[in-house]
Amino acid sequence: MTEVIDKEVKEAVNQSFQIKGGMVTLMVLELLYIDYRRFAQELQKKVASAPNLFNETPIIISLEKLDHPSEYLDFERLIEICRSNDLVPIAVRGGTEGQSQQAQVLGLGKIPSATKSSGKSAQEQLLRDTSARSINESVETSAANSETLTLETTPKFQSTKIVRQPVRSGQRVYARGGDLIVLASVGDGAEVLADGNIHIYGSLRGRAIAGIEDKDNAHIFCQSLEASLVSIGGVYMLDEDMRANHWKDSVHIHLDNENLHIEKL
Amino acid sequence: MAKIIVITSGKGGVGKTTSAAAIGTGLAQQGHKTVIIDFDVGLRNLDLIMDCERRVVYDFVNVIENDATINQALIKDKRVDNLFILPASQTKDKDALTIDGVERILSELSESFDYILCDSPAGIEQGAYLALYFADAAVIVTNPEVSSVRDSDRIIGLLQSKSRRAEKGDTPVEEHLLLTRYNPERVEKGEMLSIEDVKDILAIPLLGVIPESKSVLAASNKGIPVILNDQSRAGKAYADAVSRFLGKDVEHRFIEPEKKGLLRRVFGR
Ligand SMILES: Nc1ncnc2c1ncn2[C@@H]1O[C@H](COP(=O)(O)OP(=O)(O)OP(=O)(O)O)[C@@H](O)[C@H]1O
Ligand SMILES: [Mg+2]
Repeated sequence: MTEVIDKEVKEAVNQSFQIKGGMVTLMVLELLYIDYRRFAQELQKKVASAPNLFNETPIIISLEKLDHPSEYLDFERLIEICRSNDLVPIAVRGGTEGQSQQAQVLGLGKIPSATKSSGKSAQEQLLRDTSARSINESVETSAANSETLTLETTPKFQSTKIVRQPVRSGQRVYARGGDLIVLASVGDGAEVLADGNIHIYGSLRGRAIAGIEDKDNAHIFCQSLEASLVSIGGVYMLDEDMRANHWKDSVHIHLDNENLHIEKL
Repeated sequence: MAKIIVITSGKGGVGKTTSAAAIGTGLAQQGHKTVIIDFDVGLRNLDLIMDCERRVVYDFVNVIENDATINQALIKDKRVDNLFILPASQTKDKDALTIDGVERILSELSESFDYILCDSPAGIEQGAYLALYFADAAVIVTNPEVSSVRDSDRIIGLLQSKSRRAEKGDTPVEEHLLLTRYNPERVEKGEMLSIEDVKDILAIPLLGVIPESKSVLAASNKGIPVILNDQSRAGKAYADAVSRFLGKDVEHRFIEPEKKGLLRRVFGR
């Protein structure tokens, strides 16, 4: 699953470096229950079926869906299993105070839980078995904040993903390793992501995040710009930044000197 | 084999139950044997609108839990032939509905009915999911305002990905947009979304536009489905929608601001 992290640009000072806020799309590995042997076996199988999939990919380990949330975790072992399968854990999401401290000792960062309300909603229950089955699907409807591990087996930069139907509120489509073409509108509350370009032959009302892998050549095109957010290569704009200019225009958005540039088509 | 129709919306209070009662009554009036099932366990509204509240002995949950047979629980409408109600339980917990139970009852009803209408509860939780899961067709009830349209969009997404038809890869659930509480005067002033705005966002075929009308509340207070009031604009609009559902080509009415005479402006219908 992809995870979008928003950070504010806090400061860009100092001579030797700059701190820049941005959005990075990361894979999240959601642990559902703890069984180290099974975890190792299943991960290995996943890698064997898609050798190029992980490739030293940074990931976040999510503890939010654990069946026994406060149980003791052997982080060393978890990290070891991930690393030996070409995954590089960089942070832990959710979990108890003690668990984050343990993880911190081992050099992992800490990301607050995405789902604030901890009790599982009926909706999550409902979607749980379907989402378990949707591991290789890239269009999925999920409750707000409920996320699933979506791993695509498409090799890098080969495919263009074409979506013919409207992308609706609550749905998320990710074209991993290529471009995304939507032959309809992207609704308010929907999200489209691509490692390459995004073309929308309709209105863009939700979020479009392009250039996740290839920011220098990524563009977003849409027939009517009404987006809540657009982002290319981690640089983003919110609807309030766009309303004044080109709102509802047919536009081409691209990166120009680390700034988003919007042009009327 | 019955056609299963879910009346759904995501957002609450937009007119699902009113529409289920009206459309169910309309289909029965056209000679189709119809049952309306109230999926809103815990709230039970449909029986009030259909005026059969005091005739409820057994309910949907009793049938699911095998405490009663379907025939014991079905209530036959007194006014319209071919029309039956399966009321919700007011006392049971909403987890009482199970997917297997719902499936069993729907397939049993399928043998003797032409249409099964499922009046969905609001939200996108278990009850709403069960109401839509088995649907062949969906009536998406939407008010001309942003939050309602957005929730409808969400529900259409669920129909397209989580319904039984979607899971099995069968022909998709038929989608019908029903725009209710439409007030052309307020649309003209820019206070509400227009028909075109909503159609543009949701991109599904328009079944009907039901005007905002006082006769709706009056009818439900009396326990008369508004479609039986042939003086009411909302009632007429529902009758048109039923005809369209049955394949007739009927022009949309009541979608332009009314040119009211003085008397009508004072007494407004
Ligand atoms: N066309 C209309 N004109 C005026 N009032 C209406 C119209 N349609 C519905 N209403 C009113 O809106 C209210 C809610 O209607 P209804 O109970 O049918 O909604 P619902 O979607 O079933 O609600 P819930 O989500 O709670 O089940 C009722 O008071 C009803 O009288
Ligand atoms: Mg209702």
